[in-house]
Amino acid sequence: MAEDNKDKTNKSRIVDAENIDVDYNFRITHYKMDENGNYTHQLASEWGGRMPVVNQSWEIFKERTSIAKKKVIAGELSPIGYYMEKCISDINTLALYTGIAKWRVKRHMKVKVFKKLKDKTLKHYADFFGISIAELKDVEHLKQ
Amino acid sequence: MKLNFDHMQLSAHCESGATANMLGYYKIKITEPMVFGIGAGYYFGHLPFMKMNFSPATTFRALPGRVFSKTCKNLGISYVRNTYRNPKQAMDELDRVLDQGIPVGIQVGVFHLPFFPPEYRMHYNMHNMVVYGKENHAYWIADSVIEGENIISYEDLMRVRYAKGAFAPEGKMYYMTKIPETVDFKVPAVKGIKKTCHEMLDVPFWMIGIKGIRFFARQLRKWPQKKGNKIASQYLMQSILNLEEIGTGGAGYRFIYGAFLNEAADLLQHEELKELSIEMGKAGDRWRNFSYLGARNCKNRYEPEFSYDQLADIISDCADREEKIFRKLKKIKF
Repeated sequence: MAEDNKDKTNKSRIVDAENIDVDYNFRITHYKMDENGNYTHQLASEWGGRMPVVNQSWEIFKERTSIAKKKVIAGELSPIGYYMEKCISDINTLALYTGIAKWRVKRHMKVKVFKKLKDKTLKHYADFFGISIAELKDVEHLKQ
Repeated sequence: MKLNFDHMQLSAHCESGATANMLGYYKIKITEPMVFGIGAGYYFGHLPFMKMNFSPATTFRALPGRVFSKTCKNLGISYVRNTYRNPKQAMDELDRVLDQGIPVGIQVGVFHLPFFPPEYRMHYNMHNMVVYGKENHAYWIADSVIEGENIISYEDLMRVRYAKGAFAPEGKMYYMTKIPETVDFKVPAVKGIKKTCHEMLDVPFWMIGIKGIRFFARQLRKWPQKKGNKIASQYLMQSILNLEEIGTGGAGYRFIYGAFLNEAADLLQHEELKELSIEMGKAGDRWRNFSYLGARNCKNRYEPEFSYDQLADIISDCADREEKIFRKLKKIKF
């Protein structure tokens, strides 16, 4: 099972909130107490309510991503906003990873400012998102 | 070069597991609950001003690094723990220590970690693992949470060691330098228990310890009116995720701590500790009960199946039970 996991995750280094592939068979150690007060531990993938909790945590990210996507298509938000949600980040983490100040990242969310950005700046973002600069600039392919 | 790491035991909590595995390399047999107890990893804090995934943070563990350093100090082991500003220097230092035949524990962020299951790969920087070998630009990793052997490339390791965000690891690594000839667990276990009692009962801050659990219950009651059902469900989901999912061994470390008390009872020949370990297990069951009911609330975000008052009552009950346990534990004379 561990082998399968490796293959799956090595395909893309970045987590993609839109096409997340939750592995419900992933096992972690669980401790429990029996009637006599002795403790045992075992590997299990489920404690009773894993599915709704994990599903909801990803639903929130998916919802945020789809809202951002609609805004990008409508021209209210720059593609950086969409890819940020897709990589389950917020402005703070994005600023830290790209090395661009927070107020500048906020500014780059505006479509008008984004269009004027140089390739050098865009490369910082593209590297973090794991895509090319051309892909970052291209809004058309999001509409499909 | 690859060190002999056949003894690796899988564990629930990453840091206790890493410490236990490192001690195992030096032929010290120790279980994960014992490390967790000696290192005083048991904790509670509800911190609404700190946001994790857009929800208030609820923590059931002490700060990262505490379990390792406390365990080493209590057992009389000398250790080195360092952060590095320069990534290249951090990797060189790692190679140098590995060449001496010492397994090295590192703190990493899981967002870029390639062998981690995707659903856990959020911006979470408090994961710990042990590096035990290097071969052709790649490292052998003993991750106590993941089954099987793991290999990570030089670039990936550098990236995860320099993850950004809250509690950024900044290339933190730790290793043991000097091990005493005989190691006794009796005195360290008592020290660990005393520290945990102090942390849970006596810290004069309302978000931490038993007071913190009561504060959490009060906040929980207010969420639906203050934030609406949707956001309340999101907050509840995040607290359950912290309680059950991210390496707690079930019920926010309550079962691991129960296992520790059980083991300590045998070690110290103390009957009362055994009773308290059963009490702890019952408190854990109560927390588990909260997670079951809460998880059913998460199914439909707009209409909760159980009222938040009902859930808060369970939490208050947990607080009462735990307070009783720790008051008794504090009074015991060893």
